[in-house]
Amino acid sequence: MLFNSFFFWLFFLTVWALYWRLSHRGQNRLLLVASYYFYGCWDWRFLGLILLTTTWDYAFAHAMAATRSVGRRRALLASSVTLNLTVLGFFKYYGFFSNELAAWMTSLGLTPLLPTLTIVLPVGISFFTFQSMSYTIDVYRGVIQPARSWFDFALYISFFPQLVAGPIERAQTLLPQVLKPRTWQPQFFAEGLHDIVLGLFQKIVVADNMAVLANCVFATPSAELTGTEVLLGIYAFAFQIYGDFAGYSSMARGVAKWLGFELMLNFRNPYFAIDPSDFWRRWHISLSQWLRDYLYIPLGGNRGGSLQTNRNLMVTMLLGGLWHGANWTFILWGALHGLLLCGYRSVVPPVPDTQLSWVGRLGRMVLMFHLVCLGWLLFRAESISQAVAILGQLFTSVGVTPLATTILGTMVLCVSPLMLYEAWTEWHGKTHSLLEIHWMPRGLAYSYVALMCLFVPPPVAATFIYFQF
Amino acid sequence: MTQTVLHEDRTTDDADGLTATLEHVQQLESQLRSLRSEDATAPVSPIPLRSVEWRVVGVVAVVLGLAECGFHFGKQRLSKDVEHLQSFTQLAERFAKTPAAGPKVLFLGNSLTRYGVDESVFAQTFTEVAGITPAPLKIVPDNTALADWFYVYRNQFAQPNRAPQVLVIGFEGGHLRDAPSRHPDRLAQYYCSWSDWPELCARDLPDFESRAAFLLGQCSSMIGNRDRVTRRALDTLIPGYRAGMDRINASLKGHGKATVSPQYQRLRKLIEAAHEQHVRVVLAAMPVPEHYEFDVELLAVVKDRGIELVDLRHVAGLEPAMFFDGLHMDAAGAKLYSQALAKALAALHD
Repeated sequence: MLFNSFFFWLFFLTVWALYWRLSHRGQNRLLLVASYYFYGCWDWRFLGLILLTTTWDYAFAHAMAATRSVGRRRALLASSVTLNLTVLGFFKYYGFFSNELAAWMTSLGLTPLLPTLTIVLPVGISFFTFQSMSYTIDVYRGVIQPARSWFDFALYISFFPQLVAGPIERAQTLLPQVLKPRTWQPQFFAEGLHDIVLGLFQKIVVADNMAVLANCVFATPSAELTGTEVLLGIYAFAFQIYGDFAGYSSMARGVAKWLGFELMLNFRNPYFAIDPSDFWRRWHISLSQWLRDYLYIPLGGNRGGSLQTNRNLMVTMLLGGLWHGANWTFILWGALHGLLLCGYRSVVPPVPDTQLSWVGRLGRMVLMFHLVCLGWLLFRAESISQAVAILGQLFTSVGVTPLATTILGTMVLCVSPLMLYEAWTEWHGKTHSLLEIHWMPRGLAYSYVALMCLFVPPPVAATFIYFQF
Repeated sequence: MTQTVLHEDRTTDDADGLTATLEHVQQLESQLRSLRSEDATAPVSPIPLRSVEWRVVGVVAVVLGLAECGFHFGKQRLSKDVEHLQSFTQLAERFAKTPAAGPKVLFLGNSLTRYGVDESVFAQTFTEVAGITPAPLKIVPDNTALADWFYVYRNQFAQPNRAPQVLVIGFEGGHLRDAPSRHPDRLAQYYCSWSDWPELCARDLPDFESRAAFLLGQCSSMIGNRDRVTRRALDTLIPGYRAGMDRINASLKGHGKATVSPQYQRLRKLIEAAHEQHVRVVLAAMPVPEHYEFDVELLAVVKDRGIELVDLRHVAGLEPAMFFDGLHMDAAGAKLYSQALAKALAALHD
């Protein structure tokens, strides 16, 4: 059930119409049923997995809260984390590691006797597993109290707006919203509408139109492409993945807002970043913060000198890459970002934002965007050899071909309005700047989005990329 | 992750533990907010109330309403094809009333037939060979295939007083294979009625999404005709757009699903509908620059149903240069093809 589908909006309107007529308890039960139905529409077989994850982490958290023994609390946390990572690892990484191991054994002249399994990846498993893990870790750390009711905790894990592609919410922020009675606030409608309209534009106009172009470039043998086509194809993918993921997150926030929930901002104009650190402050913020709090800092953060800090950064980014999927290209993508962060830390002297001229800021933005695009090349390529071949082709012939003008023209038509809008919000420093202008231009802006969605639909409708992670 | 990581790295080397880090993050965020608010030029105003936002929704409704009116009253100006689509009923009625000594011949096809069949040349040649003058009519909407032709025939011609004597379906490659229409919006606007709903759901609208889009297409001229505006706008705004999209299509087609053996159920249904009115069905293979083969399944339908297949994939004298855009025949090509087709049909008429 995609956010940009008629069926979702029929489903949501039904839920919404009932929701605000119910008591707080009734609202939570309705949302839980709706969330399981939402997930069941993807694949009902994996509802059992969510139920299992919910139940064992609920039990582990309660057991942790019930004991004062540090050793027992640690053992319970280790059990919870191990169980969660085992399930995640089995579904997501078994095939990759068994294939790699088999290849390695074969190269040593051994006969691999590993069972071959075709494993279907449950949609959104990485998101709800991380969300559940953050809960047990926070209970272990004493940051939060365990949820009293299984049903409330189950809603925290499965809240449908963010169930399959985030943002990865923390129990600290989402669970209190589940527990506290919610009342309709006048600004909910305006803010939700803004987020949903923005998300629809990002998904339908930007991401899906860019998808066709990027898919064409990456599906064409690299030798048949010119350098210009390769460059524009990588740009197209950069905007595809951004529009896709940010669009989903924005719609999730809007839908949640209409239900009285505040989800965290997951993207803040990431292509306006001026350095690697700034980029990660803006891109997939919920995952970045999760990795910071539950991996980087426990590894030691920056507290052990430059060498250890760089090691911690590299480990965090490599695992961040692996989180996206079982492929060497994702691991390399993580390694590249790790190196950028380490290099930036070591080489570039810190300059406060306020001391940068606009030319210097623009130059840094352009440089950072291209470094990010280099990462997207690795991320999108089917294999490392394809990434290398495409990269090699980038520096060959520069020519204006019909494909190149089509990609560039479509980008100007579809992406530039979004970038201009983001530049405006960046300038104002507020993501909801549009809500502060007169209703008439806002209405015209929304009309423009509606007309663009109607008149510039993608040639082929695409699903959301991040569902697979 | 690393934003806060790096800030932590550079400024709080003595930070120890989560609490200090989180406090520092909150401090940095508040600093960032204050820096941004200094830059802000717009006055800070309260978030608009719900009633104000309904005005915003009203503006959107008015804009969409105006666009809908524009399409409703001006759609025939969008292209000649729209004019043709709108004239189906008139053409069918006129066809029914046309007095003819010879057979009434209905050509169903797309732009290949529109450019390739010259009605006057066809009629003249047919008359010369068969000795009687036929009454031809072309129903040739752009970029269509059997899925679209099926509904045109069923809704406009499958009636005793409107049925032709001969139905000629011009095709090439996979035009006759079972496949959903490429233009469900146009099906909704121009081809179908509510009585087609079961057939549509069975073959063209497989899921809730496509059915909802179809219903919107039936209600809205804007949705039913939007692709014409889109295509024209993109052709105008983006240099080389058509050639670029051709390359994209070719590239993505090569990476599509594996082909399964083609089905011809809908063609069988169309033939049945025609036979009920005693209409003779002729499949006319059109010449195109690239050679194509007939599916074995198609040949089986021809044999089973007792219909005619006129193989004009290659017409004597037709040169590659006569395909003016690499696909459609020019006037000279159309003359050759129409003569060949008329002779073949006249021979069948005998």
